[in-house]
Amino acid sequence: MDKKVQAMEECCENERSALPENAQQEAAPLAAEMTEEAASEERPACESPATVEESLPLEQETDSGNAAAHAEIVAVCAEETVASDTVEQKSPAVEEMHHFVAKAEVQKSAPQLSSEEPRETHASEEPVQPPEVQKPVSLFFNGLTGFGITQQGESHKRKGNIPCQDSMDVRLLQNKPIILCAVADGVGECEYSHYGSRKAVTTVLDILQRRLEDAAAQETFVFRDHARMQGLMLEAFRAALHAVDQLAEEMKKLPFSFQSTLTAAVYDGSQLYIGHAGDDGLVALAADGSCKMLTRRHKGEASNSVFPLQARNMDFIAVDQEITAFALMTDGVLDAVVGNEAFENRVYYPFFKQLFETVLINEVDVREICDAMDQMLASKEYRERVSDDLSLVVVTNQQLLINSEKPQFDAEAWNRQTAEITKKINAKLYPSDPPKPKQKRTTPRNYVEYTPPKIEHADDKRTAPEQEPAIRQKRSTPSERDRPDYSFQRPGTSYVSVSDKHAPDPVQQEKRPGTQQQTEEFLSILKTLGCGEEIWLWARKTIAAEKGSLRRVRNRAQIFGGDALDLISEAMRNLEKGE
Amino acid sequence: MPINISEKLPPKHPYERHLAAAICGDRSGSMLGEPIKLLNEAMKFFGTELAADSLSQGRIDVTVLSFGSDVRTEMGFRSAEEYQAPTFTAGGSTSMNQAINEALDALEARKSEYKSNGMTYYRPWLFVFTDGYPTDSNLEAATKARLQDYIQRKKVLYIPMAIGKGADIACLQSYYPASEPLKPVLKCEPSALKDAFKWLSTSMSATSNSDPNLGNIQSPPLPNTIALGL
Repeated sequence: MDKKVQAMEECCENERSALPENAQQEAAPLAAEMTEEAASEERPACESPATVEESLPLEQETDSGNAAAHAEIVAVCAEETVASDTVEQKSPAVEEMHHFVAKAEVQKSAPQLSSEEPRETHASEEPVQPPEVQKPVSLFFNGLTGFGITQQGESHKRKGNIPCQDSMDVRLLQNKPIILCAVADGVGECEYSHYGSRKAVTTVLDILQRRLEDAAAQETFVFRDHARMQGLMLEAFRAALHAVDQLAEEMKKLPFSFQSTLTAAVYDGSQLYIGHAGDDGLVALAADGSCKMLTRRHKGEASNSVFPLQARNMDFIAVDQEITAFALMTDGVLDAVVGNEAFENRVYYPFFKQLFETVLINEVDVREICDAMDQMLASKEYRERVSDDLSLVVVTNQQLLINSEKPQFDAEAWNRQTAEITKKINAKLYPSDPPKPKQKRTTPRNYVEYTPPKIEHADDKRTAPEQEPAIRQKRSTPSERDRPDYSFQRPGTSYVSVSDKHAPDPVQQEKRPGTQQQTEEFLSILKTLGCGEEIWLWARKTIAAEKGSLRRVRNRAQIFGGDALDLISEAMRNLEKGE
Repeated sequence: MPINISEKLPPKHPYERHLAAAICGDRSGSMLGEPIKLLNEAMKFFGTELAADSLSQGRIDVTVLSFGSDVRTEMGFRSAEEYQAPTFTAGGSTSMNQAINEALDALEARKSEYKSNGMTYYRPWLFVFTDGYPTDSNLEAATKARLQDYIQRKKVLYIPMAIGKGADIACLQSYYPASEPLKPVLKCEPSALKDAFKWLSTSMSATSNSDPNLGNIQSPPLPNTIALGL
């Protein structure tokens, strides 16, 4: 993939370098003016007033949509604007298309994040408005249908009404029957990701729309050229990245808080191109009747982590098969109907069947199915399962769908497969032979990451392990007390004491009782002194733990203070006197 | 044309998100007598509680480690329905630090198994209970650093419990990172161990059936027999 991306990048670089250098530089400042001029000139040129009104939002979006932020992109835009100026009359087909475009509100209600006005003068005066919740979009042209839905998730409502961080859009080119759509899911942890996702979607679609419309107008349309189209997609994604960064700068916030995923698709009724970054997904139905997810989820190790657009981990896919319908989803929908990797990304077709196989003959039908889906996704049953924000975009080619093969869903096979996969996973997770209990004490382990600070002592007597009773007896024989004996130290192991507090005092070590008999004597003295059961039990346990060192037991008793310390000190004195 | 959209979603499979829990129990000499008997009963009771809760099946994986002079894995990771209560025998010192280290190792290994199988999981739980004071002080600094780091990075949910009056609450609290505002430690008498394990099982069930997107989980209230040291 990297190689592919690199190749595309080179391709783009070549394209740009084909422009004369001065043209690129000069074009930049002119771009805004030229696009506005183009818009104002085109409007009165249209003949039918009804058509003009219908198509106006689209045109405005096209002309004012792009931020024209990046110098390179601006150069490209300028080139395109000049090109579009040269188109004097729209073809009858385009006129006809405008009659059919039923574009519901979205573009009007969409926030004008991508305002074309110069930022230097207006940015400080007009703060960027937060994006409103998007309304459903639907469109229909000549058998090509498309609709999109975005909803705020329950989790966002409950957590103090976090805005809906998902964004989507569906558009139809003005001069070609081509559908563009995109979804983006703002990263939950990022405060302004709802701005980021909206900006990413509008920018990527603006760039794609401009480039494709102008290419169509210039009759240099290269829709079937996979490499060029993937290059175009890459360019659009880069523009989106840059536009989001620009927005962050404009709002004077960290770019990190604007992160989102982004998945976009371009479809002409059979050929599909996908640009993809993040854990969204695209499920497509091919003419041969296969229905599968064509993207992969860009996820990190943890289940809720994602590589967003800003991770620059992007896939650009040119689908080889003839596609009859597809659905573009953010994880709020995708994860509910497409299995994870363990379940081999299985697509649950009954969900998609209703979306892909419902016959739609006009824009009213499209609006109806859009509303029905909107209700279904907001239903209680669905919301019990999914608490995240969700977006769904469905695009179909009804003409192709009528005669194409459809997948046959076998519920039994599905359940059988579920059981098999579950069994396989369980065999790994719960082996029939459980790990045997460890009986032997292991030597202190060397945890590489958490090695305690090593404090070497001049007197290394303390470093000897004092575990086996036989060894202790050997140590306590009077003849060998005078000098330390290291003969039992295991080769290759080093024991290092951690704290100075426990450093052995050679004099005390000589004196310490250390033997079982003395310990018992000490405990009985404690009892005779009227020590409570709790303290007595604690003392017994601690003596065992401290290998019979009463001095250290007394040190530990200091944390109790009061009676316990007095009792133990007195018992120690009595023990010494007794000797 | 009437458009009919019915709610067609795949059947929900239970093996969606797992909660791994490591239980580290004290079986040192100080537990001799009645306490260890009560503990063994409580561990059995915990098993029946887990098995009775249909919601937690296929979601909760438990491992049990015990520490005395040595650390034993009494039961490797098992699902709630396959839980087998171990029987502890009291004796020896309190190698709590080594037990915590081994439990963290086990939890990490479990998480990587979930990952390699494409499963999702909740933050694993580490439940440690003792009636005394760790005696393996040579591992103390390293273990504290490791656990504090894990807690800070939200890699583990640490739930310490002090049994009886001999337990050192300050010591159990010192395993929390210093930055933690509250350092909760459960306190109970040996006779209330059953209540404690019942609470543990219901809390685990509540967590394993929660949606992590919905924020913090409301854990069931503590029974009267268990106090909370902060």
